[in-house]
Amino acid sequence: MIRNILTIRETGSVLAIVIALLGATAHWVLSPRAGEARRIDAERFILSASMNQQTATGAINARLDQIAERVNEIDRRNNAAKDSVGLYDDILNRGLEAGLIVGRISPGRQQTLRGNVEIVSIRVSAKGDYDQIAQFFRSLETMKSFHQIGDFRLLPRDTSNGRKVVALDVEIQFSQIGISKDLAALRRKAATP
Amino acid sequence: MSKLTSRKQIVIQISTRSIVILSVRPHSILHRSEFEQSRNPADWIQQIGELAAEAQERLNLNEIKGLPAIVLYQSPALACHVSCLTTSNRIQAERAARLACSVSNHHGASDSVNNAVLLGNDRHEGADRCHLLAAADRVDIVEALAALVESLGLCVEAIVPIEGVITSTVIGAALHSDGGVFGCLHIGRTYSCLAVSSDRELLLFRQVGFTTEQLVEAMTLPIVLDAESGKTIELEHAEAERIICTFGVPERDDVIDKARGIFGYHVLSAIQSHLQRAAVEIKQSLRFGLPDEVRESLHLRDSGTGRYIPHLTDTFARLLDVDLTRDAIESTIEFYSHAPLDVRILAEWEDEHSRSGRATQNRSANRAIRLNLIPPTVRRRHFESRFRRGLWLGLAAGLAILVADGMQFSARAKKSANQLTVLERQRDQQITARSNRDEVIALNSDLADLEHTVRKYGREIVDWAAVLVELSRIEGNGEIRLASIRSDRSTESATAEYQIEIDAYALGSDEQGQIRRCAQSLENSPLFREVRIGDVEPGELFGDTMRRFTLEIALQPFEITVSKERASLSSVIGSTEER
Repeated sequence: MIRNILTIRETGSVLAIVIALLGATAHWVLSPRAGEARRIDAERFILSASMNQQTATGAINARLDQIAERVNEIDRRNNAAKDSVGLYDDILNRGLEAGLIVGRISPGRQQTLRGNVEIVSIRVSAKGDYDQIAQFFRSLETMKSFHQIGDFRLLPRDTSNGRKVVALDVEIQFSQIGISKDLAALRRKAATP
Repeated sequence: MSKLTSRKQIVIQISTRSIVILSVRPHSILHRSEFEQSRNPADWIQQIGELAAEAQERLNLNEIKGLPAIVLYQSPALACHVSCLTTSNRIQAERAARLACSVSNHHGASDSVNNAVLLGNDRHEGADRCHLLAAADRVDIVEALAALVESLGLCVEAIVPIEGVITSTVIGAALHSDGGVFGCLHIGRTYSCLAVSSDRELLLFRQVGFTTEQLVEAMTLPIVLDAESGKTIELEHAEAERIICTFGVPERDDVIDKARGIFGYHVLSAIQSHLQRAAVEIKQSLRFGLPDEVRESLHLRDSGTGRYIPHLTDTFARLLDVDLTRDAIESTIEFYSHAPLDVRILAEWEDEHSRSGRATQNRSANRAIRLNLIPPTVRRRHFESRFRRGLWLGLAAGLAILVADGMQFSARAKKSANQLTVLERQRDQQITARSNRDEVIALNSDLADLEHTVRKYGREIVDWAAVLVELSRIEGNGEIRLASIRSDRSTESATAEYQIEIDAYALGSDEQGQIRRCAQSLENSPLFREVRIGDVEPGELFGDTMRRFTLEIALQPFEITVSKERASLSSVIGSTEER
């Protein structure tokens, strides 16, 4: 339609003006917007590229859960070692279950070792045959605490009826293993719902 | 610039005797008015003003308002010339033709409007020639025409001399013929011409001093009906025109008007001299303008208003003694009011565009319309109007493009921003994950230390039950009696070697051998790594001789031989339990 209305020169003039206006507007108005869009695109591209190299979040969280669970387990065992009354009862019951005649149960040494380990010992005197003592030792292994058998002494004696009786004097060492601050914080985090 | 297009147009034809306003597409005569054109330019301008006022009263201006109008006109001051210049420079040729036309018309540059168009090119004796049509007229005349058009609410598209259209069409047809000898005799109402070309080289172009209007004028002179009685009759112009258009060149005995006693010989006597004079003029032009070989093979084609006047073509053919046929060269744009041909003629002239075989004439017609004598003031006004409209259109288009671009960029930026937000959120999550990963690495290290401590202090590494069962087997044969089993284990040496000290008695005759066998049997046990015999001293127990001895046994840590020794341990424990 414009071609029918305007001569070539007029059309050329109009087009030149329009092109100039378009150029000016594109320069002052559209170019910043386009630049902004390009910048955002570039950022998006860089982000996408970097995110491909990230570690899987799920695996990390699963590992954190495992660590927290393990720390909680250690903590529970530590707490078991703190409960002296419970330990006395538990040792007595295990001795009786093994068939031993449990004599004295008394507190032993207490010491703090390197590595933030606190050891509380309990001495147990009992009598029984080898099998009963062995069953007692085996039973101690199932206690829910960190513990080791320390020094012990076995004195076998023959009884009048020919049965072998062994006097046992054993020190059981219960350990409380210190947990680092970071692991302790993780334990608290895991405990929080 | 201007040309006939398919859209609706108005054609205003102003000839020496009439003004006709026609609508093209659909074709219809909107207004017709007869007048006697003055030969004085000032009077002519006044006449145009009066005609405009009359047309305003009669026309329904609302129907034609704003339509483009082409004015075909004849004026007393018009000059229209055909120039033939031996040059190939079209621009120079046009300038020369315009200058020549203005000079010939005795107009100054400021008082006249002139224009020139190139009709075509040919070669003559090896040289390029340009054939141009130039026209010039007084400014006040064309301004009066423009005022007439604008007073009717129309838009001036072109102001074109009728002579220019005719000349352009005839010469254009000659220059763009199919080849061979081509001749065209145009007999118009007010303008006639003759053109002949050979192999598209224009050989002859002459204006012919004969028009059909001369025949009508001749009929308006007193006609002697009866020589004896001296009875004469004078016909009105309209009546004479009607007779010419209806009967043309009649036979002598044809009855033209029985009531008034007008017969064919009356008409012939009136128009005969004009016909003969025209025939002589044309024959002389052909004789002196054309080579003999061309003249011998000449075949003229008829065009113009004259072809619609009965028997006129045949009469000229007979008088000229050439082949003259009514060929389909449509260049008639002049009208007779009484002929029913008006609209059809214009339609044919205008419809040439749609005829495939008339492409050359289309070009000629368009060239003629380009011979535009539109006044400078109107041209400037048009330019300003179009330029302004173009500016607004351009601005609107530009703004539309800008808005569209802006919207597109905004949408794109918004979309990208949204994506960026999502990615930033993901990045934050990844940063948290990375932090967690680093934390896990650190915690793993801490946990490894903790597990090491747990292994060191929190778990038994000796299967004391199995050890006890194994030691109890020493007394199996009754030759060895255990006095005590002692283990001294300081906590600090938890990782050090576990050792058991056994205090026992060997009874019987071969005490030393029993001690050795006892030590060997213990050494064979997977629970013990090393067995060392300590003090051995003789003694007495309940009156029996015996040897007291000690054994230092190094235990095999449970953890080190976990896979291999575990099975042995289990078997040992199992056999012990069975026992």
